[in-house]
Amino acid sequence: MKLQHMAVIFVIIFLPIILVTAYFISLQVDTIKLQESYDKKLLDATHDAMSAFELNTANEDLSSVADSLRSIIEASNNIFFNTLTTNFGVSNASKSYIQPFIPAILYTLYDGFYVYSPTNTPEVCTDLKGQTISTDSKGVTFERTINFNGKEIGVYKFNQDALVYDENGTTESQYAIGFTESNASVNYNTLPNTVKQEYGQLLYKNNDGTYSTVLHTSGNYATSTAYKQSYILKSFISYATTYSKNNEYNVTVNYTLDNFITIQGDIKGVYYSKSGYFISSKLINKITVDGVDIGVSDWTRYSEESWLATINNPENHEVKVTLCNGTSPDGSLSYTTISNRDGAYLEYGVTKYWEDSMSSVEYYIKAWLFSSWIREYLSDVCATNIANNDYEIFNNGETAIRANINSDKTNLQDDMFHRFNNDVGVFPFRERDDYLNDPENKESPFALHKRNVIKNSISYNLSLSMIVYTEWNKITEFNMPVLSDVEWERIMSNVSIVTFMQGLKCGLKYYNNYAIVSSTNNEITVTPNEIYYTPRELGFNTESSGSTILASLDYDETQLNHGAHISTAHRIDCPELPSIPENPLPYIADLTYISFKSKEVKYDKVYDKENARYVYDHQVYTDYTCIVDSNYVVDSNGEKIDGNTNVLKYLIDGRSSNS
Amino acid sequence: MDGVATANKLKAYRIGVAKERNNLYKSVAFTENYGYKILNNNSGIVIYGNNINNTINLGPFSNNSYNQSAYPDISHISKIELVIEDSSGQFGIYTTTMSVGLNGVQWYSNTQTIPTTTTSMRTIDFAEDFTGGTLSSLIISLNNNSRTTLKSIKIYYK
Repeated sequence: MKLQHMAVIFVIIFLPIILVTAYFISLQVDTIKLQESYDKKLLDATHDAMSAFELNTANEDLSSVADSLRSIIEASNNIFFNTLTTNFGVSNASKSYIQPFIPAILYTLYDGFYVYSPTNTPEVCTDLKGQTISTDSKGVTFERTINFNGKEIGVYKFNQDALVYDENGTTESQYAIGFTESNASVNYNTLPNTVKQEYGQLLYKNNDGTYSTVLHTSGNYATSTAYKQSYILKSFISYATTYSKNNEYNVTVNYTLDNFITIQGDIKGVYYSKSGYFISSKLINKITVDGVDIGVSDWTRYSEESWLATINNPENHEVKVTLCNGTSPDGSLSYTTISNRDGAYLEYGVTKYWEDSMSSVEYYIKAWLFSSWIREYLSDVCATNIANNDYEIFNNGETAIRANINSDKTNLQDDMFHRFNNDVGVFPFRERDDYLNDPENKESPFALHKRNVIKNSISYNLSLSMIVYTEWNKITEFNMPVLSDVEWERIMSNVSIVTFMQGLKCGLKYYNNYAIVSSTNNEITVTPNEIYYTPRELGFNTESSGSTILASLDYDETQLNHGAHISTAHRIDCPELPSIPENPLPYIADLTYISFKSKEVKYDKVYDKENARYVYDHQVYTDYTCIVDSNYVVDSNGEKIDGNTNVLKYLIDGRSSNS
Repeated sequence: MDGVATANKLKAYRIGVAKERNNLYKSVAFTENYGYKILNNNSGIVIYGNNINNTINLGPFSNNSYNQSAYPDISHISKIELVIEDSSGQFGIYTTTMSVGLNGVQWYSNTQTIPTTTTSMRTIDFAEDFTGGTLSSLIISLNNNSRTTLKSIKIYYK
């Protein structure tokens, strides 16, 4: 065979293969492009949803009230669909086109989370005006009873034509007058004894068009309760779990994104309901009241109320709290003392006290009382005491853990509890009362356990949503994507929105991805890294009025070394944040920093709603470098800062730059 | 940074975080808002309708952890919160009304309607411009032929 023939055969054989492969690769490239564009659309919409959430919480004084928060989340949800549908080239009116591809939207908030997901809901019987109908309404007739799991359930029919409406649209004498006299068809006396308790209760629709007061699913489809598919924002779910141990405690602990916890339940026969910030026993080193040292172990000496009264009376009492910051570079321990008289200033010759100092001393005292109480009452609580009826996932995990503990106490494999052994609990203060057990340290057993509790609760509820969603679709199987540890960390450090989009045709495959957007600028949580500081200059940006004090103090701006940075707020570890001079003038001795928890500092924002105090008289702008995370938040090794511990360390080390 | 500057920034950081957390503590919905838990009873106290003996003597306030020993001034009280469960009524009684009395003075102007068809736990609030001396006893009243179990009482200050 000539070389030319071989070449022709080669071309005949390989050309189609090359063409097909090239076509396939181009399809793959198109798929990846399409997937990227879907990713971008999803992220855009999620970002818009978070912006709406931040804006609404910032401008809503009642945003911490649960119901108000719910409406804010529903609004944020609408914005999400609005942006997503617009990005897909359809209007929000065509939301139903996109909705089937969104199996769940997760809102993680400060003390719990919301899930927006498809749900099966029973249909309540209503008349044509939308008024709910119960068994004693006019138009309802009793048909028969059916047996469900050994209990009798009444079956009713409803006739709309029996209702007569007045000019206001309401029915006249719709409800029964009494238990014996009634103008309705169903009468208490005539109901069979087995279903008498159904009198007056709401009716739910069955599949065959009849109604019952009890939700039931029996073998007979026709007489079972009819469920409809709807997308709803489910009830608020707390980051909570229950711990129980025979005759000792049965308590529910509600965790939050930071170290604030709420404890409710029974401890040794007494029901408690307490909440507060849980701090390390090493944090508070010394407490003095009017110069008298109150031992840090003597937490029952005064009631919380008398502490608060003392702290908020700086004219007559001084409360000083000495905090241990950790180890300095020279090996010594670093301490900071704050007093309720810090930052006092003169106004018209009268000494005024600073709200921030009182508030911060109050925080440490309250946290100290609460944490001491926990140490005394709950130090026995172990992760293995999580109540059996909590979550199925937890249940299974716990069973596995128990098996492990029984066989080998030192070798716990399950990562849910792997930091705990049999002797160390959730509030482990007896064993190692050191830095590692600081609840604010993300590596502490408490923080790890808390994260596991939150993670399990979220995973469980999201998985449920996915399962329901798969049942609806029948064609595509939806799975809960595996979130990485870094992503979980983001979700559990800040208020976040996680949106899932699945099942959309995307080139050669079905799209399956999610987007996470975290908020660092909202009014419902405090992130230590996201607090901004500016020097508090007497008479300038304090709550005191300006000119009189400036005149009386012979104010000399050149003594302040912040120069051009005046009226700019920075993170505490920003090198641009002005230092207070080593030898300040007498009136600057009181000078310290004011702080804001919002990037968007509103000078007219009143933080103390009860007293309406702390109104700033000028606006402070936030340093650009500080508000863009990627520009700034790295330590000297170039590693990202991930918590206040590192900021603290930077401060203790006295480094000049954290960038 | 020199030592003074470092110390000042450390102090600013401590005050900043604590102040913001304390403000959040005051504002979050689930905090106790200076509420006093004055009865914590796991087994509960059964309250019967039409029974004049539903009087609970409060004694000096104590929540079993701090040495509180003061009787609160009634005019300082903004709200009384009761947690009840196992509410029930005789046949035909589907709701009942509940009112509270402070030191024997009954406040009928603020009654609450509770269903007797469910045994689940619920929280009942009595908010009123209460007046009187110092609080030493509480009377809980229910309608005839109904009963409930009182699990806890919490007093909130204004």
